[in-house]
Amino acid sequence: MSDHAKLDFSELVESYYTPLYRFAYSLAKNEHEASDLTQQTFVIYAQKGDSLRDASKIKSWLFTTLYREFLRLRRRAAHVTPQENEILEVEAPPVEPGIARALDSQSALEALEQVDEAYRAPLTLFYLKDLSYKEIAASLDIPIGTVMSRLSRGKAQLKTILLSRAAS
Amino acid sequence: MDSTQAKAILSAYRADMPDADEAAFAEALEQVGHDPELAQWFEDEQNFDEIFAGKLHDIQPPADLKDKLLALDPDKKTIPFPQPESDSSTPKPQLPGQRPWWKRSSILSAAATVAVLLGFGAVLLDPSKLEAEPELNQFYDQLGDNFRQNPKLTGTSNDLDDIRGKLRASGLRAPGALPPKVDSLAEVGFGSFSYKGTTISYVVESQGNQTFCLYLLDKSLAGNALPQDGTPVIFQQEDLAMMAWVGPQNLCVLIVRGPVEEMNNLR
Repeated sequence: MSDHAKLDFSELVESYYTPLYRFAYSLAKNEHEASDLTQQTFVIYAQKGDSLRDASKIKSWLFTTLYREFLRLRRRAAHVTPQENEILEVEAPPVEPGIARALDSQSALEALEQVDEAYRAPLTLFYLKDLSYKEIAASLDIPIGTVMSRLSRGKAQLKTILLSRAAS
Repeated sequence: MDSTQAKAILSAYRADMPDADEAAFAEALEQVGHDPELAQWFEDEQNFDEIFAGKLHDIQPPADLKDKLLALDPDKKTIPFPQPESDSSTPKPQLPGQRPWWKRSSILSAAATVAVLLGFGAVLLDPSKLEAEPELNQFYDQLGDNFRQNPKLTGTSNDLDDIRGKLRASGLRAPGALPPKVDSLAEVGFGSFSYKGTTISYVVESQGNQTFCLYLLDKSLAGNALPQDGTPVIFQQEDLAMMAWVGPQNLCVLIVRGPVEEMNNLR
């Protein structure tokens, strides 16, 4: 019997549906599509989960599946920009704590939405705190060095966006 | 490593990451201890991250999402097919949906008065035992030909309710309540074509790498070839797997390329 066979479906739902929904909502920015993506992820798990041999990878697998479903629905290709494996120098503007505190979750998502798509997913997963760096890399199918560089660049963009919104 | 390089690296750092001890951070973290300005920046950065992360954690799933997900448990095969209104004496169990409630609730509320949900299951028939009406067989052939030529989309949408509305607005047949696992396929778009003086509408859907097409026809075509209680019939038509059932409004034929086993997951 594989590790997977010992996993209880309801326990998986209990453990992961909230973080998966948050990730989905961060990507889709509407309740309907976020619920749809979350459900589709578990539908696919119900159909294909038997092929998972390593129970420790289920969390990454679920996030990967959800992200791929999102990309597929949006008909977007997940391109990996070349020469991104190095953490390059990024100057992020300082953001007063009050600016971040004044945000509500919707405003935070709207700011994230303006971040370049390549940086948005890793940045969202970073802030959701559900995955390690390696798991983020696995979920997005990119090298861990790329995760780091996208986080740096994504945060720099995010801060610039927040400052711009605060000034306007 | 200068201060700017250290900031770039540390901006990706989160102390509570299980693998925050990545070597990439070590040198930059060490530099924090020697550079007061960098240390202050790092503290501000961590505060910003904590505040922003908190905003995302304010997002809460809809109250009934968990129940919808638990209903997908493959070990609890309680997913029924919608039934036509003729059989209204059976109690109506709660339909565990794979479709999001905002789509399903409207469908169910309308269907609740006309639909009775019976037991789960499809009939997997030996093609040789199928006694389809001759005309129905011609339609199956035509649907197969249309599918093999990649049905042309007159509109794209990933929202079934949206597709329903557009088909109805064009005076075309639109899908009613679908079996939950069929309902869970991801919509791509819709279209229509004419055959033997009748217009056949269709919804193209996908799951993984597979493309499905749900064709909607006049239910009178089914004759006695299909169960009138909505039980689906799965059969092979050359290189295509087909699942046909009589819905409340339409004769529905779902097609995917491959053996009939491809369709079994949707029973």
